[in-house]
Amino acid sequence: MMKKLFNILIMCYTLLFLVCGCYDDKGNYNYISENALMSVEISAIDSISIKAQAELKIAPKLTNDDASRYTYLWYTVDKNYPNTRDTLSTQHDLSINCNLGVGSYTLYYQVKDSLRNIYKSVTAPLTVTATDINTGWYVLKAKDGFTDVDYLSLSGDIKENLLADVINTEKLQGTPVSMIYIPFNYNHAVTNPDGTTTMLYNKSAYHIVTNKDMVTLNANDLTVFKKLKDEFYETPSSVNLQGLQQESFNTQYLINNGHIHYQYGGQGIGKFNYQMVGDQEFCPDLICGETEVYGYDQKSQKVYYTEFGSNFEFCIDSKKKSSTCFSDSAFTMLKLLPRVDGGYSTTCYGVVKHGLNNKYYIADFGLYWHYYSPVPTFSQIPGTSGLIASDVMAAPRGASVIYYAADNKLMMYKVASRVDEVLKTFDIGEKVSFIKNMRGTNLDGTTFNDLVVITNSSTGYKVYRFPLVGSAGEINATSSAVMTGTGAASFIMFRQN
Amino acid sequence: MMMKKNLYLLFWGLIALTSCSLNDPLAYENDPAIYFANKDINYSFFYAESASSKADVFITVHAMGNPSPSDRSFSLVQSNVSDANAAVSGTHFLPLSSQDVQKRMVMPAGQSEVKVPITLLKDPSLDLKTVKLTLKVAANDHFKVGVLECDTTNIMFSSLAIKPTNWSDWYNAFGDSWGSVKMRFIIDNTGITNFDTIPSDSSFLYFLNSKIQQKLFEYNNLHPDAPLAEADGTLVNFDNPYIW
Repeated sequence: MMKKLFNILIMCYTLLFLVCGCYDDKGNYNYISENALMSVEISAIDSISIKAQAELKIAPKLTNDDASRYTYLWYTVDKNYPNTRDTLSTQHDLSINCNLGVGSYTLYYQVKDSLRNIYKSVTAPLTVTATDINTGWYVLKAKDGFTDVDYLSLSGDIKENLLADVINTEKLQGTPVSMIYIPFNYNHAVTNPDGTTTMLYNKSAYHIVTNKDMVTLNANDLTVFKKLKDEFYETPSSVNLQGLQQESFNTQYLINNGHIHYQYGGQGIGKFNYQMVGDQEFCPDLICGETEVYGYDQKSQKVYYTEFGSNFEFCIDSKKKSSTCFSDSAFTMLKLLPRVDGGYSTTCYGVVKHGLNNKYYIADFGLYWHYYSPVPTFSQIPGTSGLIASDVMAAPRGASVIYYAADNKLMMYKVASRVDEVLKTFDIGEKVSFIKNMRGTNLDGTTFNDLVVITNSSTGYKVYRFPLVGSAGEINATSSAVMTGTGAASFIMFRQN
Repeated sequence: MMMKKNLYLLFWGLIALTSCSLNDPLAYENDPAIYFANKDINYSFFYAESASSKADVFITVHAMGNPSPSDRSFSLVQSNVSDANAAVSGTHFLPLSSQDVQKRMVMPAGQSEVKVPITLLKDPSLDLKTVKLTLKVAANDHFKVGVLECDTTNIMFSSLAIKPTNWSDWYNAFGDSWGSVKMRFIIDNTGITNFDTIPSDSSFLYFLNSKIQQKLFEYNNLHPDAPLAEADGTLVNFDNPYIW
């Protein structure tokens, strides 16, 4: 009896499944595109850095906007506390006094169709600082045997002598070498009065380096994180700082006496490691890719590669399986000039001196992983070119030229035709001390691609920004100086966000 | 029914009252006695920071019974004299019967515990072997033997390097391989002699690796015909490839 009942139940279930399987599904499978459903488009919002309590205004660019249909929402999420959401405004445009605490946030702008309960949104990094010294230009200058920093904001405000007069810390000994902005991933250990340690993670910071000294500042409030004695796990017995670079993952590479020390972004307590293994004597110019870092060893005349502080490997010509592209002619590297930085391919020029015939050449090559790609080709520089005698030079991203300084002249050497051209003659007594092709975004949102030049004279320094024109390296040289100051400047850093 | 309920109440009331009675603390009322209150000790002159031919290790002697208003001597003896690897009195450690050591075997007035230094001697024979000193509590006029399970303590010592039990935790600093020559090189170049605690800063381990690799590079450059190697010829390395 039970078995019979069981069989009937099984048959009923089977019948039920069969009936369901034959049901004519009238579901809607005509998909509607995203834009047909919600046609509004929101342009990207640039990253923002703002002083706490300052006015924060953003007018987003929307296409197919319909205020009668959409609602708007601005809110932030604290990067350290991702579950904390703070609504800033429900207006179309954002216009508030920024009362967020000092820190890093993600800003969300959401446009919602309330009838359909769907929305589109964009995000942008938002940094709230305790200081209004953030985005803009930072000039390293030497004066009376010390180095200090002058600041020019995007809106044109100048603050001189940041170290001595704004931060009230000691000026750095020695002459300027470099400065970098570390947007995130900088760690620092604070020793409390009771001897315990508090770790600060994922901070933004500045490294400011001279040939004899160094300081690291908290970029949010300009307090001093570290001075030279705390910058290394073991301070080198001889300090002769020569170069500083940072790859895109915020690992920093510092050259001291031809040796490379690295600091792995986001790890440890923000101190530089012991010198990387070997007896290389690196040229002060490093080439940074996305994660790869290349340097030229003057001893072995080889280009070495490292990544995240891994042991050095020398670059090779993959076809010839040879690493002797430079050493065959005993080339001394006078200047290693990046042409494309970032990404997985790095092209550069090397201004080199032949070790056997004492003639000068341009080495044109690329680097990929631990390969030359393409392998170096060498073209001789005419003996009449001022490039040979110059110690200030730079290459733009793209054009096959090298800019260089010849006293009060800004020169351009055309690599293919081996011809020099005067781009700009400054006043007599103005000596060019720095050249670099720099890109970024102005306060009004427009982008720039300028050749930034610093000159020094007996009255102080001047900073010029000459827009690049076309693709052959030419510049619009009519601009007057955008910034002047006292002392002898020789390095400028632009901090975007 | 009512009677049964009252009986329950009476029972639990008595229990509660009993719980609240004041107990006198238990006191040790027997003769004073002593026992060892330390773990066995391993020591190697290899890790010593000084080049001294002596080293003190400390044993802890605990007294049972009330502290005394006066100093009380106690007695310790070596109980493993006949063992094959026994430390030899006067050769490997200061004789327990010596005046110096006898002066140390005193429970100070008013105290119930004392740390006693045992002086180990760096005899050349320790370059090749590890010896063992087993100390045993002996009864005297002031103390009897206390806890039987703790009446002996062992001190193993040598001049040989001993592989730290947590060696794998030092991988990022010194790599996987281990040997006495490598260990000496680490100590000489980093100054680390205590490997018990791993630094909490992971980047510091990589700093140590960079430093020791550079020092090895320099050493091998200075000795191209005799790169740093263990006694069996194995070349010393500090490779620490990333392990996924």
